[in-house]
Amino acid sequence: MTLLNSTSSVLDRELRAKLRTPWPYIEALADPLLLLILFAPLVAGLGDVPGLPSTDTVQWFVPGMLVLMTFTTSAFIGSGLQEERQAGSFERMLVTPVNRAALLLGRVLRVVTIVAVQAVVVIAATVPFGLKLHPDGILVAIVQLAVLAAALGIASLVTGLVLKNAYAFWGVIAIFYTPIIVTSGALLPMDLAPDWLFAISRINPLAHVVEAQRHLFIGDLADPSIVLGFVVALAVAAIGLAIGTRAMNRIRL
Amino acid sequence: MIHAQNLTRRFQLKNETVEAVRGIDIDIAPGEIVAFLGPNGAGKSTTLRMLTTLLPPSDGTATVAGFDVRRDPVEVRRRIGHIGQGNGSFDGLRVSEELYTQGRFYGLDRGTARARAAELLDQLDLSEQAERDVARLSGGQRRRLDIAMGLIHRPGLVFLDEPSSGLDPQSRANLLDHIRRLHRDEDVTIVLTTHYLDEADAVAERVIVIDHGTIIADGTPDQLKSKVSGDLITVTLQDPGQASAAVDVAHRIPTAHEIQPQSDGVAFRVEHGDIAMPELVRALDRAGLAMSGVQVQRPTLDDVFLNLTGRSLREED
Repeated sequence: MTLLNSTSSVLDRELRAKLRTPWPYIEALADPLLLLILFAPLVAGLGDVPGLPSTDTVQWFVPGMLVLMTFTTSAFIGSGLQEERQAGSFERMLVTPVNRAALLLGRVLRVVTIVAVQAVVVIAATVPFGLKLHPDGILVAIVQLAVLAAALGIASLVTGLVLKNAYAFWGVIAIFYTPIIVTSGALLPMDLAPDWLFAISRINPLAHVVEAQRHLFIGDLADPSIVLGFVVALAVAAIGLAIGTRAMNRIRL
Repeated sequence: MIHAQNLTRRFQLKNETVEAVRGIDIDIAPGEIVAFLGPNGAGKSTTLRMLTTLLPPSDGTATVAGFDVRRDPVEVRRRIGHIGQGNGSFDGLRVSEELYTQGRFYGLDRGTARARAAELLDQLDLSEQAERDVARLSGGQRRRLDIAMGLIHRPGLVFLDEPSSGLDPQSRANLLDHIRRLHRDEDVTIVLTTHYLDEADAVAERVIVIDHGTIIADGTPDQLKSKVSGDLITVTLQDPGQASAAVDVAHRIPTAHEIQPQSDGVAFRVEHGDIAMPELVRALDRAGLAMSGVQVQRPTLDDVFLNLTGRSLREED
């Protein structure tokens, strides 16, 4: 089986299962919209703060929300892989001639697809809140979110694969969740941060993508942060894929 | 179909190396139906996992369906079906979907995968459940779906790891029927592991007894049983007080051995229980001993295991 054929078969199975259980995705969509309703007014009320535009806080806030939505949709998929491993269906697939890397890639493509659709939905839903649309910027922004989803998805799968047990997996998530969200700058600008906290945000891939997204949403396509956002996301994806392919070839059940 | 030499698997546990499989040699010809019998932890499943490419051997070689498990694992996978110990299907997917996508994993085109899935659902009595979420299947139905998934690509060799464990007696009998039919009608070579004696006895034409990672016996159930020396005859008397007289009678029966006095009679083994029976009845009569009952038991595979290891397999349950 070629990688392409295998991946499309795995994606097919993944989509069938997940499209019928929509709750995780309702949750993933509700989260950014609730933040927009409950948290964005607080941000708007901050007034003159470094890193915040004086007006148009919606335009500043929505890109960060999209990045958080991408994170919550793709960063936990490793636990699904662990569940299938525990149950026996993963073993069943490992005895088929299906390409083993495709067992990861099919899952990654599922979250990429879903993140892209959700991004369109969230963007459309925020127009009534005053979001101004810059079509070419938004197009690039969605592509970038898809790349980020792939990077986070593969990282999550690798974590699930290497750690094997669910407690360890959720333990890692619990340790990294808050630092990743806070230092992404999605909720409040990192310009407010003391130097040490700002330094941490520089090693958070999400922070770079948040900055890139903010430029894309005001139609500022020439800003170097956009390329940096892509580079960071692609680097995470490449590292994840390298470790993941290795782990899949060495897997022992 | 299977040719394995010195197959060995070691696991590293904390500070010690555990040898789960210790240099096993196996040859299985096309068309055989073979059971690996042994207690839990004997190394049956580890052996199976090496033969199905899930686990690389630490040592030794194995050729399965014409290909080396280490050099050409993908070619082996194309040619074998494997029904593992767990649930092959995952909650949230429908029966027909799991079967169809399994076909796609083996490279069947969409039309063939769909047609083959429908055919197997019919064969394994799952047509009515085709559109049901696998989470809502009974244990027996779920196991039959596992078997259907293992057969989607028409493999000539099928491995089943503890196929009936956890099933109720009726589902178990039904499952074994399906396995027998597969072997008889479709000429599929079958290798299964089990720690149930009656299962090995009922399904397999050849039993390989594995204990502590080595093969301790290999043959047809009848051959293995004939190694246990003879049939067991148990005599109960109307008057328990005459038990010692019955022991004396037993000593005079040709080929009688392992004579054990019982509280109300005697038990012993003879070469052929059916031939010894009339002789025994006459001898007891001559000695004036009145029987209240007599039993002849052919040796079971448990006797075989007991004979070989000094332990009973039944104690494992």
